[in-house]
Amino acid sequence: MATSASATSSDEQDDFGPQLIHKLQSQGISAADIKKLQDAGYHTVEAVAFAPKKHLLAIKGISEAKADKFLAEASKLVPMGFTTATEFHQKRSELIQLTTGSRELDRLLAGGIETGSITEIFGEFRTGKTQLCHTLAVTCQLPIDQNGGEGKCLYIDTEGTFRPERLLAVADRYKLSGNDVLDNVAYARAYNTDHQTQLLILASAMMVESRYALLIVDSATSLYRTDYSGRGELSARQMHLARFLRMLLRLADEFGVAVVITNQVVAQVDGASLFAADTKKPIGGHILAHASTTRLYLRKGRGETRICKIYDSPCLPETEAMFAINADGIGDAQE
Amino acid sequence: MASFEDNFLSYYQSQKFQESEYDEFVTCSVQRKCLSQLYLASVTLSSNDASCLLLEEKLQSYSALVDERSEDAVNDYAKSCLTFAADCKNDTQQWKSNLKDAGDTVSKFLQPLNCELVSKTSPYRCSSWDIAEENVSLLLTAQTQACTVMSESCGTQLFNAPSVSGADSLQDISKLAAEDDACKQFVDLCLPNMVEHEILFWSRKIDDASVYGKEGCKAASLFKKCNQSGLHDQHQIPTSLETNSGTHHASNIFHTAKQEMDLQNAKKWLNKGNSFASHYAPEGGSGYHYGGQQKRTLGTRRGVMNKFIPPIRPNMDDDFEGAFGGNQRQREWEQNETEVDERLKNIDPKMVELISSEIMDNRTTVTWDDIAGLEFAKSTIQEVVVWPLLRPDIFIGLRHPPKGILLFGPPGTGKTLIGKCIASQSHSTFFSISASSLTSKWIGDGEKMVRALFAVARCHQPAVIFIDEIDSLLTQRSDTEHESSRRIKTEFLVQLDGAATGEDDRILVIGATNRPQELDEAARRRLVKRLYIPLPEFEARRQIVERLMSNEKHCLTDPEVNEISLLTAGYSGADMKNLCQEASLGPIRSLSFINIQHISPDQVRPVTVDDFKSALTRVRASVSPDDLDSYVAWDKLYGSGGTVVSGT
Repeated sequence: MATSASATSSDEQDDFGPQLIHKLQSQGISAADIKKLQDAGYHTVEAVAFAPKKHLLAIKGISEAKADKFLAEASKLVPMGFTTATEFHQKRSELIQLTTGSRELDRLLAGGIETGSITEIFGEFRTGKTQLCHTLAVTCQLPIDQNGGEGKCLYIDTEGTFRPERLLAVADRYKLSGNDVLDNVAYARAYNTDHQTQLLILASAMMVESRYALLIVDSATSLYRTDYSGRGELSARQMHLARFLRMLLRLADEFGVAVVITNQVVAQVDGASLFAADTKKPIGGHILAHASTTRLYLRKGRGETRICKIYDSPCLPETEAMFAINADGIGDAQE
Repeated sequence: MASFEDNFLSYYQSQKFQESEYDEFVTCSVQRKCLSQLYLASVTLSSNDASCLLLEEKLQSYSALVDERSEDAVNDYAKSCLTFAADCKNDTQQWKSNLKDAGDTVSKFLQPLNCELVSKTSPYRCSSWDIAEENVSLLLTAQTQACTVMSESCGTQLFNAPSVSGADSLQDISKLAAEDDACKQFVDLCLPNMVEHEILFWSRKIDDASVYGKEGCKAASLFKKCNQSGLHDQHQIPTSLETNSGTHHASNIFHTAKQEMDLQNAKKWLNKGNSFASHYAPEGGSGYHYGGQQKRTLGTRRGVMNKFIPPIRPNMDDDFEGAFGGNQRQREWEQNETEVDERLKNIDPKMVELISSEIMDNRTTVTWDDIAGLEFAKSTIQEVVVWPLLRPDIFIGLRHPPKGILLFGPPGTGKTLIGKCIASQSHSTFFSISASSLTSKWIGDGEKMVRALFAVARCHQPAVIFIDEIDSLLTQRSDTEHESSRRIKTEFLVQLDGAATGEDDRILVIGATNRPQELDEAARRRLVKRLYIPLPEFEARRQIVERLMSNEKHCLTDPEVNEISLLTAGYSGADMKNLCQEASLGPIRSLSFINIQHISPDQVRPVTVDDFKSALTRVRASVSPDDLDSYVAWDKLYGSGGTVVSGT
């Protein structure tokens, strides 16, 4: 059933987006091997091309010679060499950005949440992280000329804070059909860190099936905080987290989806805190800091207003913007 | 007991020696019989568990023999079955007995054969070997029934395949089969128990009794096979699900937000019917029905694996562009803003909104008649404010109304009341400004506020800006004052009449003060009409008393009112009001404390002149004659005149 669906969709997706792994069959790779790759979570040619050989060897029934062949054939289909900056600039200017609902915030982010990269949102509780996620889950379905992504949304929830009625309120604001909006959001609850990673494999299978614009993990680190405790397990935790983030990055690269993860903060209570005004630091350490392309720091303003600060970005200046959490999602702060 | 053991041994040996190396079928049946004997013996002599332990190895070798799939092996008959069953999804090639790797299956297999059952069926045969066959058949029957249920659930095709092919293969088997009493007896015992329709079907087809026996055996083994495969299938299903990690799995874990909402609603609004619909009522009344009574569909709800469908409402397409970017209210606000944009372009929108909030809307109805006396002031203001509104075409050029009015006079003489009256009577935008609405903690914001005030006023022409206690804003500029207050002042002066102000602006600034001498001279110049609001005259005081007392029960005659008015010379309007309040308390004071608790309001005696006279001793005039002199002097110097000075 799934294969027939993907077969029909393959001709639509030929011109853009990821190339389905069945394309490798024409390059002389047997159907049985492709099945093995699919079972291991490789659903696109890009996924194979970008995978390190070690990972391919870890798949049951793939010998070293086969892995070499996979990589060689996949890299023929996927351009992985050098390009000019001009070409890359051209590509980047075609990138879609998803509106956040607030014009101030969009201006701060130079258009909105960037697709094809990881955006991390962190802040204390009640600073609007989850609300921003909910609004994005709807705005990613808007047409592209209205700063949307014209795609579905995949929502992985680890804290149990997903509320579909919030989506309906936002859908109403954009005059969208509530039922369709809800149907375009694939939701899963993650119960532990292994499950959270496992969901990403399923996510890649689903992203092959239909067009996704956004992947939300709310929050990416909360389960790690409790699944691993103390310094003793720190290394294991960071390695697991790194693998998780690597998979996110892979999805962003393969499918061009915007990846939005939220993060929690930790208070710095030792000596240094006496001098610093703001003692809150994002958790996840350097691994998370390096993995996320854009980091946004949210803090609470007066009343319904919240302040967003660019904490780290390859191109945006370190400035702030104010937005508000309204009944109909994220919006501009009044007065 | 000894005879039983002897019996068993002799029979077991005779069976054991029958084992043939050439015929698998014979070997099989012999082994089976031996096994049953062994089992029975071990159960009789020892415990159930011990027999399990003993028989495990032998059962395994037996199952291996049955499972062997070489040419001419026992399992060979399955070939035809397999061709039939090939259509079925279950992997028939993988059929295998579960005996080998499942210890509990063995014990389950042995479970029905307990001693109770044996003794109940036929106690005297316990010592004989053939009772074992009966028990085995009973067991097989039970398993066959289970198999039937199983295979029925698997699908009728699978079920039919072995029975038909089984019957075919049995004819070959019957040629090879040797006459065997045990088999016969087995069938005899078997048939009444096995009421399965397959058995009847076969028995009808084949007449020969000797063949029956073999058939029965084979059928039994076949059923066992079926049963095992059934078990195997059952075992297989979860594993196949597990391995099928693709779409199957995904649809289990991921679901759409719609399904999630239904789930959450089911938890939240269980048995509450439609209450959720009222909980979420979308603005604009475009009613959905969520939760509660679900709209029924044909089961074609889109799942998580479906394609993206643009969620745009079809009828909204044309005005989607306008709707995008905010709700109705926000859009209106933006429209308002863009409308006045040219004049307010360079002004902070926050300030505009702050100033806009100073516009007085809730107009308390104060009429000109509420102001006693002050005829000249009233007529001047009517001339400046009301008439230009009625006939703007006449009041142009030289007749253009003045831009500023200053009302000055001792405190409590009705300057603020005139302001209120203008607010309610003139149909213009009325700004009530005090120093607090123009000053700011930020340097430079104060003068910007002044600028914003006039810009907003210009947008809302005709406008009246009423500044009570104007001396707070426009005092004499001096060396000692703070720079920022001076800048507010100068900005005010510039806005009031500066290079940028147009001739046709219909903005009227009304200032009220009781310290006119402290006003800045430039401000004084700009407030063209300077009206002295004096203390009320005799006639005015009379009016005040009459008006105030009209709501009270009193017994004042006209001469008495005149007397009061005469006595209150030098009282201001506020003093007069105080006096009347004091006097009206007189009748209450005359009551005793006990009476006050019980008396009804209409039983209180009316206010008399004596009350006023006693009140006069308590309420004194608040304005000193010296103050009045300074006002009069200032009025002579700068005032617009027309006021009859009657200080005393």
